[in-house]
Amino acid sequence: MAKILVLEADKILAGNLSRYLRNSGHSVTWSSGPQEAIEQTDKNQPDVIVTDLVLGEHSGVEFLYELRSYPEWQDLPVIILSTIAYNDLASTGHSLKELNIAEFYYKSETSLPEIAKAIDLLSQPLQSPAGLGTRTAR
Amino acid sequence: MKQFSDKAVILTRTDFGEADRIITFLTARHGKVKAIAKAVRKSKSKLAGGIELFSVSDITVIVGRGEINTLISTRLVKHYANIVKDLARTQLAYEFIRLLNKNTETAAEFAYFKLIKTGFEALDDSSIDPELTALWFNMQLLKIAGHAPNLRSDSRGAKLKSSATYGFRLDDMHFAPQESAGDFTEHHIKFLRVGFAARGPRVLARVVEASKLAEATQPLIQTMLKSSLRV
Repeated sequence: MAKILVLEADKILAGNLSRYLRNSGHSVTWSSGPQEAIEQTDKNQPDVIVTDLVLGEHSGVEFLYELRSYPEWQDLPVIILSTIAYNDLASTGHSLKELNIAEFYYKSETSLPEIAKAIDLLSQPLQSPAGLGTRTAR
Repeated sequence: MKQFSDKAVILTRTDFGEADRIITFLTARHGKVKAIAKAVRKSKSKLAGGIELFSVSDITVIVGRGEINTLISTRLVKHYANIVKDLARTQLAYEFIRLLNKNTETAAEFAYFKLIKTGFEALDDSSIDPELTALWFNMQLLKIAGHAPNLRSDSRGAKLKSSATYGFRLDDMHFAPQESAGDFTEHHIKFLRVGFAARGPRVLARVVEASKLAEATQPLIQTMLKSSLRV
């Protein structure tokens, strides 16, 4: 079971995603705005964040820059589930490379099971080959 | 030289070279067609008058070897002039063509052409609330693209009840009964049923308390668009 923070401005979409992830055995917190998401991240220490890039009047990219500005959250796995296609985002000049994004999904072409699968992969501790410890999947 | 004539609506216009323009049309029988309109930005152009935004035109195109064709004649059939007299209606008309351009491929069906034409007609008619037109347009777009919700039975396959309240499940596009107060009642679902079935937005306007129901269902339709189509 993973602790997941869903950052999504659309209440119905957030409700559907949260319900599906809860039914898959995860613990889910929902934030509708970036400021609330930063506070929730601090409070709940999620294992994975799922965020859109369009958050009402705010930008998900700004949220990501703020998140990554905290040293303890620089490796926190982030999945983007957006209404903006990756190619459209690239054409606006935004680069997500420096923001350490684990996965990028385009909403209209992604099913809920695909998101759940990505979360499972990202949140599972992997056994190192030498069996000396665990690490988080990236 | 292969050529064809068809009814068409402009989806995009891009200036090209000194006086040319590349235009993407949505046609009635030939899907989405990209064509170069030569010298169309010159004042004496015979093509220019027949290719206005928010219009239906007769166009004749010579089929090119590659992706680009050449536009050789145009005639304006109907220009929806009232749209540009109102800012909200103009914005919606732009939104309609943007959505259709993003969600249609080269072989777009006739239904898409019919949808944009009916959408323009409704926006041109000042007696129809533009918000209802937008809602109807989005419902029809979902329907044509194959993403219409199930409005007959709930997520368990049972008939929708008048006494129950429902939430909406995007994964199987069903309404699911909710024990605590759900966001949707039978009135909302019936309104959606009318909207998805209607041939034009005027039918929606006849529903009692249409504006209130539209306001309540509009966020759900937006969510469906976001999760199913390219927006």
